[in-house]
Amino acid sequence: MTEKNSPAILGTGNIKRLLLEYSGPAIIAMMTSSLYNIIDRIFIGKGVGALAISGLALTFPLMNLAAAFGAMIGAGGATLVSIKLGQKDKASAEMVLGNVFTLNVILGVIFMALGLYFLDEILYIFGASENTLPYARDFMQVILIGNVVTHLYLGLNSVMRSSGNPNKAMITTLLTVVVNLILAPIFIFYFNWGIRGAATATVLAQVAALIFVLVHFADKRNFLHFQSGIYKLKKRIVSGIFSIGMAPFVMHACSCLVIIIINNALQSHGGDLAIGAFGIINGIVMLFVMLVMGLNQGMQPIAGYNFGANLHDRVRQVLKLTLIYATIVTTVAFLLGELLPYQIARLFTNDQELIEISARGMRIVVAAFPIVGMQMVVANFFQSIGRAQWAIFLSASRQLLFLLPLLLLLPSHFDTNGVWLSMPISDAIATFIACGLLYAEFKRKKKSKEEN
Amino acid sequence: MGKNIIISIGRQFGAGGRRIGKALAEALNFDYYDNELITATAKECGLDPEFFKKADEKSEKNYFLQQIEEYISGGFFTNSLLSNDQLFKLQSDTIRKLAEEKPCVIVGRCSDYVLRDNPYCISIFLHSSDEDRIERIKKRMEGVSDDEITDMMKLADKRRAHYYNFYSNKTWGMSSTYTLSVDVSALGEKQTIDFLLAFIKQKAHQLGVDL
Repeated sequence: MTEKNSPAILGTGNIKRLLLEYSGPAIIAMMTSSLYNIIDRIFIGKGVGALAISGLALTFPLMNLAAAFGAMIGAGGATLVSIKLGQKDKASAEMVLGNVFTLNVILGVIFMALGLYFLDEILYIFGASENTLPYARDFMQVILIGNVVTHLYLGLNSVMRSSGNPNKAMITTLLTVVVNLILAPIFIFYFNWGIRGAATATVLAQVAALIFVLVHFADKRNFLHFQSGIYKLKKRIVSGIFSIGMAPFVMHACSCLVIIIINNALQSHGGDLAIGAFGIINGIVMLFVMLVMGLNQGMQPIAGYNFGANLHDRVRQVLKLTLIYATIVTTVAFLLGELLPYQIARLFTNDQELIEISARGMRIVVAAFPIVGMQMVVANFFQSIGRAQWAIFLSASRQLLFLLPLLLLLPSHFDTNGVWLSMPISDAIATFIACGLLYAEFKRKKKSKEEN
Repeated sequence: MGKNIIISIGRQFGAGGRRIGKALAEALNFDYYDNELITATAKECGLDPEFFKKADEKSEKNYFLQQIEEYISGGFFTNSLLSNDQLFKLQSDTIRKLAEEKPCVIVGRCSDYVLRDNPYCISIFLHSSDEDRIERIKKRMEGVSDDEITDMMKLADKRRAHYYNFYSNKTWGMSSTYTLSVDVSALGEKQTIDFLLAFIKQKAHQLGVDL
């Protein structure tokens, strides 16, 4: 963290080393959470059954929505805390900590109550059928009861990260993974608790993590710690948290919406197992997407600084390097999906039909993957050089602007394949547009250089 | 810490803060910073001042949109380098550094909050009647109607208040936030300057600094 305060190193250090150094922590954090999702699904698929995978996939948007609320307060609180700490304004920073705590409890309870009360209705809207509803309901009831814990853990952990303890925050994240990986198989295979066992393990893992974070903030030796008088909500802090946190919330909510639409399309054209297949495919795909996102986060400050310092050769260097790494990552995903789709699907389930649907789907979904890494990197690159509107457009294009119309159009002609097809088509269009914009940008830059 | 008197000026749009600040700096032989602060900050960390200015103007934009942009850029995990928050941090560091070096007049940028622990910082808020403000702005920009100016004033003040209230723990324009809050229209610009000079000199004398 101290290095980031003296940004000059970004203009002089070895690009390759800087990129790895800056993206490393983000990659680890993102990879663990996707690995965790994958392993959870494997336990459920092998221990409970094929329909349980579908049930779990149905709950994904709802869980994401809960996490989105947590992320909203977490991101807002973390940003405010780091602003206040940057000014050595400890009293205000502690107020933020207390307000994050209170807000999480309030929102957590409201979300739990509404979620439990309308659970069946929500799950039907999200694409459940009579066969998959029991699994989804069993799972979500436990998760929702633990919702306050989830919110508190996510929110306070973000604050801990931004108050100068990034490593401790990382340990908390790893702790949830480890505890879950130990408890889930015990609950599912030994106690035979079924899908509820998986949910219980998830909640208990978060309880463990929350205790870890609470102990940190209760310790008076830590710079920021709990004390009386910080919990009362302050209008200015709350509005600050919401105005910062709104953006991450909207992004999460949009991705939930897209998954709900995909699940519904799969439900009406392919049935319950198709939803389960999407759960499997998405789990694998996200692992690689997250890797690229981690790389992006490393590239951003390096490209941004060097662009600002007029060191354009270094900008080009870091962009090129990130593009190469990202393309390697997505190409690996492509090769795995095309060459070993059956083997991958078999990791999750023994059900022949589900394996068949998943494998066929995976082959289509990853079809455009060798080029899609480029798209993600370029979108992020535009952000780092201050062309934010293009960055927003590009980020939205792949997963929203082109995907939604395709999802509404293609399935009625090609059934389940239509759902799968809309993803690589959207990926490909978005990539071409991204490359076009990048080309235009470099041409413009060259021209303005010549004029000077 | 050196005994540098720092004059921090907050102001309504069109209240003459910049001119008054410059006049104070000249009379006291202090350095003067408003936009120069950006240039100084940029130099401090090796960036191109032009780029820095552009990034700074971003803060004029819709806050929600900005947040989306920053989120996409990964501001959630790593504090992105040129985010507004980071800019504010860098500027604050520069302000504190300048205050260490020599006496100066700083206009805006929450400088009074940044220097809140500095006993030698005198913070002043300048406001003025709407009519006077419109007159002043008219002189600066030709061919703009009164209504347009009123809208501009409202918007600019709203932005300044938002920026200030977001980054500080005080309220923009509220008299208890500042050492001194003055209606420029009461005495007129010239006499306000004289009044402020007298106040500053007296305060400085009390602090053991003779100007």
